[in-house]
Amino acid sequence: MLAIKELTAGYGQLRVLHGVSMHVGKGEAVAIVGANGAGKTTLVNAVCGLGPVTQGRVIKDDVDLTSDAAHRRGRHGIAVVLENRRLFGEMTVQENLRLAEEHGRAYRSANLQFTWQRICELFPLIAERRRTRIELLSGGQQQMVAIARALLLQPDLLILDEPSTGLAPKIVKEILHVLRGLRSEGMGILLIEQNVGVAVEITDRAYVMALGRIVHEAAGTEWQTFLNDERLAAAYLGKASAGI
Amino acid sequence: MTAKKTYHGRAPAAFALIVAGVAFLSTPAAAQRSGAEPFKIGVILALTGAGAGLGIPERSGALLAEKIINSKGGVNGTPIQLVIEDDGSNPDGAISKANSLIHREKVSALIGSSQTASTVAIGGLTDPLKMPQVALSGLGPAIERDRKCVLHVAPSQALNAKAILEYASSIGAKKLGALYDSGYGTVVYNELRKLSDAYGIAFVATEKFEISATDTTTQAAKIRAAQPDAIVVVGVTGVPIRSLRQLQMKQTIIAANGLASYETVKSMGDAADNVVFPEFLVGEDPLPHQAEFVKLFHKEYGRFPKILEAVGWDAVHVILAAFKKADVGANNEKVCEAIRSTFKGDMTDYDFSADDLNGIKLSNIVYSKLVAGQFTRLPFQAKEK
Amino acid sequence: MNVGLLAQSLLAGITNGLTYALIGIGLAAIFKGSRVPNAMQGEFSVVGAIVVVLLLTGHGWPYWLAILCGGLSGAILGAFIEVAFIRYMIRNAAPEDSYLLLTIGIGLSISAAVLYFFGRESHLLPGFGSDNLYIILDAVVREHVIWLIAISILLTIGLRQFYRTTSVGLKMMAASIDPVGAASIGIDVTLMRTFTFMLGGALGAAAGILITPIIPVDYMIGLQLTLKGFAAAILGGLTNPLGAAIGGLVLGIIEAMAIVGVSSSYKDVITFSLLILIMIAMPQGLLGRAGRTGG
Repeated sequence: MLAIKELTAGYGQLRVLHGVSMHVGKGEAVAIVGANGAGKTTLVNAVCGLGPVTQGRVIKDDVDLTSDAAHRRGRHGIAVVLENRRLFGEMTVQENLRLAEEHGRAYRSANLQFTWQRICELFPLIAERRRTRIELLSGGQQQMVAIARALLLQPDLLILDEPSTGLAPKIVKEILHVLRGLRSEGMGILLIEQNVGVAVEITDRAYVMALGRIVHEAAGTEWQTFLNDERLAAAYLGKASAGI
Repeated sequence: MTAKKTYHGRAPAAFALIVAGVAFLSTPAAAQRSGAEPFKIGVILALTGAGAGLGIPERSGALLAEKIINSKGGVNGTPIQLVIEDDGSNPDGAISKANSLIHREKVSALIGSSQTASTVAIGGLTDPLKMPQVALSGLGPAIERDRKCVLHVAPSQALNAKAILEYASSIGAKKLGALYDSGYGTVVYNELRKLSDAYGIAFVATEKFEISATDTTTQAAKIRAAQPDAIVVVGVTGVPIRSLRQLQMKQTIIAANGLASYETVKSMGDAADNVVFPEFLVGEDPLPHQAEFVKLFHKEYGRFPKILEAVGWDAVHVILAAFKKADVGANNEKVCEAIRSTFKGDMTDYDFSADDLNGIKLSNIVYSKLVAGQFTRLPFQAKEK
Repeated sequence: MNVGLLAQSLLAGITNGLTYALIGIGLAAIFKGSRVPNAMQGEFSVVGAIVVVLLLTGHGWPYWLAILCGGLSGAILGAFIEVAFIRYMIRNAAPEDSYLLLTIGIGLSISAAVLYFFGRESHLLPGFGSDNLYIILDAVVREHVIWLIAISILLTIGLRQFYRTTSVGLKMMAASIDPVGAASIGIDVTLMRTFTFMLGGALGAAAGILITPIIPVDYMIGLQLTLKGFAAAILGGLTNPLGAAIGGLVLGIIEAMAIVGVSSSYKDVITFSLLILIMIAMPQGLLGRAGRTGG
């Protein structure tokens, strides 16, 4: 479904990603883990068109998106919940969602998977706090709104960049619950997370990044027990080497 | 590598020849004025900025004078050349242009500027040199009286004030309102204040506004509330007159001559009615000695001149008359002496030997009245007391 | 001081205040949508008014058609400025202050162009409606002033509704609040910014057209209008068109009251002293924190 081939990206002279290749299959839930500065967010930005790409390809459902502007990628079924959420603080919950909803309806005119009703079922707080300004909500509530906003774009691949950062474990649990539900309906998920413990909860497979490269790919049991794996520590402590 | 060529022999000689040739060609002809060298007069005017409404018509008059004078053979057979510069309506600009005209262009005399501040600034340069300067602004601060070679072809604000009061008195106005700007309006108003008692006239409402104000309704309303017999307006735009008329004030407006131009009349819109100006030249109905100038101007530009154009025209002629008398090659002192005498201009009669360096009399004032946007000449004449 | 004088002064204050407000509204709209302080807002007014003057008196077009074209010319000029200059600067991550410099430069250029192509004469437009004068509480009111008040109110309310309820309005706000977040949900941020400049340009042109029956327009007046508009917009919180409208009114009324209550000589001193006091007491603008979201 989503294929990333030899992606190289950076800012000016600074190279951040060095030929990263990975893929997410239809309905798969894949994680990207790694320490701060590993290049995870740069990768997300490249996939979403929010950051520059020097070399390589981003392909969704066999369509090359690499040169598409960011606002044009939604029609290919990609929706992203960005780091720090990037909601419109001065506007209300309803206003934030409405904008996404209109686009979602334009992308997939019939058989909307995520209607207003569905969203309100998934996130009860939305119905309650429709007219509340985003900046008055708590971090956890804002994260819920951000996910709802992304879903209203009717994606089949949901990308989340560090959704658990700064949130209490209770809220994180709620978010994971929602994500699990989405997974069971066939939603593809690409989860970028520093916190491996959170990531293993809902993903089957993971790429480990360090210093702009993918240093390891883990799946199944290996992934489920990866927390104890010394290679993980090595990657996080920057000891990435070709031997892994 | 090839050996470096050394140059001897022919090359240096050729080089020297070229240098000499260039030097020869660029040396000016003999220093005395030959018949072909024009007689230069520097002209500094406010052509841009707030004073442009003054400078631009002044320039039209001056350029016409240059053309006509040269068509008649110039001064003593030498053609005249006006070197015109813009001071941008500010005295610093005037100084830099004056320096350039005096030292680089080497003009024989200066005309300028349109506004008092610039005139005084230029005077600081011409006075020590005793270079004749004809100012188009009215007499300004006290220092100007000491500058005996800086003459004014425009009336002093004191004269303007007197002329206004003369007319007010003649129509029996005892209570006056005054709406004046923060520039020359304040100067005229101060003069009015000094003289009003002598005429038995009181100012019942006086309001100020900024030179470029776009609205003076509130000030006009205050004047309306005081119910004056007539209103004096001193400014450079039609705004105050519009404000007064829009409040349905029917009294006669006596406006200072800075507003007596077709441009300001246009900006007054419907309000250009029942406004009296003590001024000097009514193109539609000129005095006999002005008829020739009016005809020439109308032929050249297709419209009537008013005082600003006449002032520019007269300024050039004043300088010419002085140089004719003292001779084209005379030094500054001699020309200054020659210029300080009487002169019959087209705008009015001058006496440059007078204390106020213009000698314009009250009896020279021509009163005009705006009737439905047109200037008409009033028969009223102020008598010298 | 009698009721008539007070009424007339208040009316003059409201009239002038609305002229400031109209410029301020356009300024606020552009700042709200692009974070660019537009030092040439007054030039939109000059261009709009001159276009109407040209079409009306030069070519005899019907007034309403000329007005429409005047408004359009503002929008087109705004779009041109965004596409030709702003876009480029944003792409090259120009520092914030350079936008102010850019708009100052554009303003001066337009002023010079107007001087060059149309001369230094000032022009008046005919008032809306009839030439009737109404007397209210002994104050003289031109019919055009009534139109000015009505249209200003409509514009302010309309703009507020535009930003709060229409999709395009919300998108324009979103694009300026968080361009990255906006792009991630499918908003074409660049296009929204162009719309913002078109809206600001049209508002500026409308202001010019509404003002010119009262104040003659010429090549110089743009800067003066911009400055007063800025004062109004800053009073109102800079991102809030409603605030700018109120700020303009307050400014105009304070000016008039200073003239009538104290003296015309001290008008500016009083007005700006009061403005400074207001800004110290309410740094977020007249509408406070809440004002930053509204409009």
